[in-house]
Amino acid sequence: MESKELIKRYIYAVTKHLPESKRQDVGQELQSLIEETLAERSQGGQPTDADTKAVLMELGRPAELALKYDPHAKDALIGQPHFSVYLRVLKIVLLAVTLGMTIASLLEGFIGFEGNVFQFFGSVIGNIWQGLLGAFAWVTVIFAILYQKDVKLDFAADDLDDLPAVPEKRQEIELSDTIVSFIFTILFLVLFVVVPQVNIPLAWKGSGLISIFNPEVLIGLRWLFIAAAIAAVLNLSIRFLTRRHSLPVFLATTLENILHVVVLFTWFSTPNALNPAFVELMDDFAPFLFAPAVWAPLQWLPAALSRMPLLLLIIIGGVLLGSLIDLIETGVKAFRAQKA
Amino acid sequence: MNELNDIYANFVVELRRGVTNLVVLNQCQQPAYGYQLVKELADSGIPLEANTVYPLLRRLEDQGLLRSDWDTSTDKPRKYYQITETGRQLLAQITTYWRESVKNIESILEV
Repeated sequence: MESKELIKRYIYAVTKHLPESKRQDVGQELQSLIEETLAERSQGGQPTDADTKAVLMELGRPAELALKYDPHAKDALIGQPHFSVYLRVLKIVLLAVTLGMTIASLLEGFIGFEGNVFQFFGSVIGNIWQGLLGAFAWVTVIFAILYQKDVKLDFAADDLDDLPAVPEKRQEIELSDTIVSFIFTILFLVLFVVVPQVNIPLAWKGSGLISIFNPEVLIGLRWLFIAAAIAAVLNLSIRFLTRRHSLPVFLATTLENILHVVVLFTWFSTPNALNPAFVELMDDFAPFLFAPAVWAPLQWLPAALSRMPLLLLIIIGGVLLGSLIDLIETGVKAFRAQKA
Repeated sequence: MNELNDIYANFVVELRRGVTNLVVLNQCQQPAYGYQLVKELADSGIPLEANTVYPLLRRLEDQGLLRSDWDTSTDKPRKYYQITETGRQLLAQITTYWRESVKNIESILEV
């Protein structure tokens, strides 16, 4: 290739990595540098193609040179400080997915797997592997975006005056609590979104296990479940990253609890939320608990609630109470933290 | 032995990294273009690669420490860099810091 063409290509290869506004100027300056270096090398004579190649080799690979012009350019998919957080999150997510997928696959197997025991365990391992690959990809993509977009994960301020106070013991969020909640969130997703046809099998009838909840209803509401899980993961992420009670933790907890109650109410007020086969089976055992009938003492409740099977009402009551306690506790801790 | 050489090479790179900014800023007290700086510094026993000096000039300009002008009056257009007022203030501060550091480090180096 002719020297002139080679230089032109080299400069293009460098400047194409730079912001549009800098390209022409940097290009002209590089051109000037290369010409001066070549002139000195050939000592006034006509530079040869070998001279040109040698000069360009000295300047280095185009992408590396471009990186020197733009030191803020990211040269890693996930760099520090995001990388440390990424590793911590990845470990927990992979652990939770392994657990969740193992339980889901085993449940699915008990419900009705056609094949021998080797095929069964093959399919369990296959499911877990697939789940792990998916989780790995998602966590990696999310952290790559966070790193590339400079989203700050290190909530501790850089400025000495802005350093947060060491949290009192009661303001701290235990890592183990966060991990346990995360595992429960994954379990919830697995049982009600990944394997809704299995969900929670509580009874045995002739040919196999019967699940307590109606799979069709679960499938119809899966986007609501996913939204609730996202709110939970958001809350857990803030807790995991800050490790202390604060206003953002309180707001995320509020959002999560509101979503949980909305999801639960929507789900349970759907006709046949309980699996009809299960209700039928329980008919002789405790009909008042599972049958969708108005229970006399609860007639004063709105229709959507009073027609709900008692079991579901109890669950809703329990979740409402739990949410209330959670909100008060998080709110008080956030208030104390603000005051401190 | 190779490992020691590698460590030494890394050490030198780390040491030179910060000093390079000081040296280039200092040399731009008079208008100078990139290639000229590379030559001058090499003659003063401070060899710096063109692929270090040129991007550095640009970064110092972006930080407002240098300003630049193209000279197109000759058949070889050149971009001249010169220190700004802010650059001068910073240079004075860094030079003071450098001298104190050298003095202090010298006083503890026994070899």
